[in-house]
Amino acid sequence: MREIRRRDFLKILGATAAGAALQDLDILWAVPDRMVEEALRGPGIETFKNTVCQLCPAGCGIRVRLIDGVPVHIDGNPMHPINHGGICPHGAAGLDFLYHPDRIRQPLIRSGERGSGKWDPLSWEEALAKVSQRLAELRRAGTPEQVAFVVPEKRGLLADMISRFMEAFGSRNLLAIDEGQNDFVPFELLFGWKAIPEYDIEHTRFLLSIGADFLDDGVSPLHGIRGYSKMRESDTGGRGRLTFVDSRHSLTAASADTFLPIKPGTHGAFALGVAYVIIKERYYDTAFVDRHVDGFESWVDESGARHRGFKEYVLENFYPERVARIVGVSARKIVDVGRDFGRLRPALAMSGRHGSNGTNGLFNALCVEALNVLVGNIERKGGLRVQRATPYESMPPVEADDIARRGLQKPAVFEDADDRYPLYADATLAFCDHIESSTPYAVDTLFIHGCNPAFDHPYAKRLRRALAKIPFIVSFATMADESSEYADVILPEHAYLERWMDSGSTPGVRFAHASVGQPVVKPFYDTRQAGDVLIDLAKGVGGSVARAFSDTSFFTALQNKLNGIFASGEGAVISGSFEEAWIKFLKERGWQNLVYESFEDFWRVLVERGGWWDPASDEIPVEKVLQTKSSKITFVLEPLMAKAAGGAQQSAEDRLNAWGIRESGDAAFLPHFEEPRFEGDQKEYPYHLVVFGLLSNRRGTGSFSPLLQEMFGYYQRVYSGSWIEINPHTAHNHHIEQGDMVRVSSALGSVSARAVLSEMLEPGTIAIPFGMGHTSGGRYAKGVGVNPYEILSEVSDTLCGKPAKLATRVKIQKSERIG
Amino acid sequence: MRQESKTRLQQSLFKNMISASLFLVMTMVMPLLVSLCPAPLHAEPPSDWLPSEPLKGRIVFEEKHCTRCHSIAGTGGDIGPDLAESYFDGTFLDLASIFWNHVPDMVVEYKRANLAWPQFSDEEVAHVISYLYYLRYLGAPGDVSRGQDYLKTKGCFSCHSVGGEPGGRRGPALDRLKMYASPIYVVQAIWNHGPEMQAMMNSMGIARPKFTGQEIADIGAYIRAVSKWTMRESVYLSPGDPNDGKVVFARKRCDACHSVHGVGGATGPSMDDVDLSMSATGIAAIMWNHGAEMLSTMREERIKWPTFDGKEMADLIAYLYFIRFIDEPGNAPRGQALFETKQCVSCHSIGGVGGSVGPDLSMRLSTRHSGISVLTKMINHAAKMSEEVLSQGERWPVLTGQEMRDIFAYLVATGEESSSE
Repeated sequence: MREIRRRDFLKILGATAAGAALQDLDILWAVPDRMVEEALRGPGIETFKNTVCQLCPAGCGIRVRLIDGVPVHIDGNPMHPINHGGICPHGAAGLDFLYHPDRIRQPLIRSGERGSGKWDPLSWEEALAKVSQRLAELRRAGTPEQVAFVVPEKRGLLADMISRFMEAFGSRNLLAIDEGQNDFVPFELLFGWKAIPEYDIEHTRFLLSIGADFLDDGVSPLHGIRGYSKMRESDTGGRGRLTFVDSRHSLTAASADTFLPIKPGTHGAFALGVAYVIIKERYYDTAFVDRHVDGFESWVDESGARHRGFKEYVLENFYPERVARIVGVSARKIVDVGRDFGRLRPALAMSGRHGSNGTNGLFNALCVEALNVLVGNIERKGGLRVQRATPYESMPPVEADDIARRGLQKPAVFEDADDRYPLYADATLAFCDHIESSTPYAVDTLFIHGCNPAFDHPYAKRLRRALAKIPFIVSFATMADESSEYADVILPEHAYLERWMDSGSTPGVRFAHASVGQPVVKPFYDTRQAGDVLIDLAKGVGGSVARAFSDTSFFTALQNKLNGIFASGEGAVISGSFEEAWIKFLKERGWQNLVYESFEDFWRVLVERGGWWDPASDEIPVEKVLQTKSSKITFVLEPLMAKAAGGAQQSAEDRLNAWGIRESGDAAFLPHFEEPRFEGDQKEYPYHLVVFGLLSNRRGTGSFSPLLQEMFGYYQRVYSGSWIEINPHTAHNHHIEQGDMVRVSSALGSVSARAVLSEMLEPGTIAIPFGMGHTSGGRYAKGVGVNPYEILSEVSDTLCGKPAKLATRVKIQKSERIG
Repeated sequence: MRQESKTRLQQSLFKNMISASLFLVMTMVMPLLVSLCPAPLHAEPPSDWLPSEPLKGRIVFEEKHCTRCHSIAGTGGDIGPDLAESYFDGTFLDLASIFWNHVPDMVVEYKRANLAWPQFSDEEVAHVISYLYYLRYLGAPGDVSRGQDYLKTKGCFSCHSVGGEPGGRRGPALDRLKMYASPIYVVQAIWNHGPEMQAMMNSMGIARPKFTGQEIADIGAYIRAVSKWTMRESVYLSPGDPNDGKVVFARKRCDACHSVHGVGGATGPSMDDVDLSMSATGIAAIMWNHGAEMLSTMREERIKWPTFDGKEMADLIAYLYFIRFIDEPGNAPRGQALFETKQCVSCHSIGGVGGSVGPDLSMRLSTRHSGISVLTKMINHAAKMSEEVLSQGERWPVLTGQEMRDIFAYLVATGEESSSE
């Protein structure tokens, strides 16, 4: 292994190194000797391999350029239907992760205190034996439930395998910790959908984004950008317009025709103001609403009691002048937006993370989505489109043995037994509470894969306390990070360019799709595919756990899973943008695009191209797409009503109060506006803290790459560091100027960074980007910038317990002038 | 591409399509071909080459920016014709000649769009031409209302019912066919129990219904629209593979009665004489329509009634469809005349007689080339050739498929004479 300057290495290969010229970066890459030799003496033959980016959940297809088998560049896969050849900065910097000089190179066992960074190497046999022995002991003791597994989300084959492992082992403690886990909830409440649908941006004429910074921090930003650019093309039925409503001027705001800055957490009120105009001026689709919506009109129940519907609630409460006072935007502008939304069809409203990251986040999202319902923009071109299922082959059911069955009867450690949140409780806080209190039982062993909860979760502080309580932690990290610092054993996974992988069912994407990632290079180090490690551990544990894995490797499991697609004959291996029309052409005539005589033939092409999709999924009538009990869109939140009525000791009113719901009567169970709550004394902490994400550093892993660090604040012209956005009026009051060092303090702590003055930021707001401030993560990430999560209050959405990242009050203070 | 079909493609098809090489030979690109095209040339009559994956050309069609000017069923550019509506007819070289003749227009459009002239591999040329030829085979979507009319007028309701409508009960209800999205499945279903159906119709005194063109697709669409079958599963069919269809043709003993290129029985009409340039359902209709005669002849000949499973019928129909795709040999004397009338001789010489702008073609041809390679290089260098034609004030030499075949035959003959001397 040789450490070599990135620029020099690429020059040897004749590949461009221009990307390093942002500043005089001296990036070191650790390159295997064989590759350096190849670079020096190879014939210079260029090849490309398609695979899948794994640096965020968006599921983009990527194309790796190789010279003599040495990866030198990453670009978007032009055939891939998610990103159509586009690539974000994070994806483009993937080689920094492959060649990172601080990658973990073999299994490690901790030799010092947690966090001391002292490790001893050990062989895979020793490491697997140590872990499986501990697991086997827990099963022998009849306490399999004491094992827990933390993953970012439950998508993909590896997540399927982990779920299977846990079921066969006898534990329900598989926790998906990504903060977006509950983002589907508003759609389930209104439509019965358990996945985030697609906003068909491409075909809409008027896009009203209320808190959705979809160009920078969307679920799948490149998919959103693609739709946005198509919407802006004049040849798709008229150039679509974008109005963006939020409390911070983001990349989406900068791209919008109109940006309306509102007070933090008032997104729902703005949406209801728009709804008022639509209803009052009868822009809503009466036929659609009459046929498909429950709870719009007021009604009388069987007992003769009269109930207020959504229409009455809105007309009584959300006239523009009142909304203007709540949100801080003039009534005139609210009326204009309402008329545009009602007049321009199809018009599409988007709810998003900034709107849903407050204590009233779920209600805000419901109010925004109600706009789509009013104009009947459901399962229509340019509207909300439900995600189609991918025809994977399922694994056979797990045959749990007695030990596993007993373990599975125990509650999960993250279950919200206290009923603190009435709907879909976010598991993370309960997880922390119960780990710390060892209730209902102590967790002995924790596996962490694919995430860094000690850094990238808004409750990172709490999670660190919980991790410290767990006796034995196993990490699959490829590089040391804040969470793996707590590990006792590290079973390092291959870098993503070295392994087989899959991706599919990307949230916010309508068509069925599945991506396959192939190894682009042989593994550099003594690392393994996590799926293979899981199989080895299962064998080591024995019993029903071993029997649950008939596949000999992750690779064979992957082939088996995708055999379902081959057998279905649906869709097509990806090939290009013309494909959608072509598949429809065939399907209308009863043909399928399958021309593969065998699975091997299909597999070869699938791997070569990087994925499969079915753009021509059957059109589904609205009544069939709705999966609520009544097969109607429901404005009456029945699950909340049932929970409120279910308290043995408390009245419904008391329970609503306990959950922090201030609205009462029928309105409490409608999509309505709840005043946001903020943590911190208003006098001492007068400003609202907005934490926002950036495309260049999603999940905070961008900091591992020096290139991404360099461009972290590219559009604010801040390089290699964090910054604090302040409205100039606010800054003036504190004698702060552009570039000054500013300390931002909450009741939980403080962080300091340079000030960036932004006219477009709401004056009562302070904004800090997430992504930097690592205390671990290798030579490039550690000690650069600040992590705003460190000063976030532990406040949650009142309904689902989702971390309320926008509910912390802060104060600011000039600390030091830079330059 | 599978190795087998790749080999087939390289060794069989285009060695027989070398007549397409003629025009290239007549131009200045010939020297390049000498070094780039090592595969041998055989002046055999058209062989049995058939494209094994005709739809693969769709990807080439997109990658080479054909969609910028041409649409397929409304998707794509509108500078050129919609190729799903302007179906191509004729042989491979007929299509190649259409492609060749519109090169000057293509050159202009590529320059306007600031696109680099596309470069094709041999396989890509084969795929894209096969693909365009195949579009007609894929047919048109069925029309529900017409389908209902056909079921009534053809007397189908005498024996069958569908969608709860009143109908006969002698035959099964057709609702179950809903799951089969391809009308070929409908044909397959009635074909496979053709003898029983015929016996039933005979006993009832019902005339065997005859179908034409799109009618079967329309009937399939109607069944799918009104069926009471509740399962949501849809079974689609892969478009047929003509190579597999050829195997089916022999295995089902079709060749006992029908000949192809002079090989096979004479009881039934030769497939060379039947115009099958129509959709798969159209060909299926023809098969069905002569089923009664077939049945009695087969009984006399003691041949078992052929049944089809899986995609055998689609394959067979694809094979029948592609029979006309194969070129016949050209006429060398006509080719010699064309060589002069098309002004080839003003640039190229044969045996030292002719122009010197381009190379002597008889000498070049004696080195022997694969036809597909020649055609590919011809297309790849067409932009450069177009410039030359423009600067010399010449007209683009338009060629029909037959002219390509004839001139090729002439050049092959000349080349053989040269090598024998």
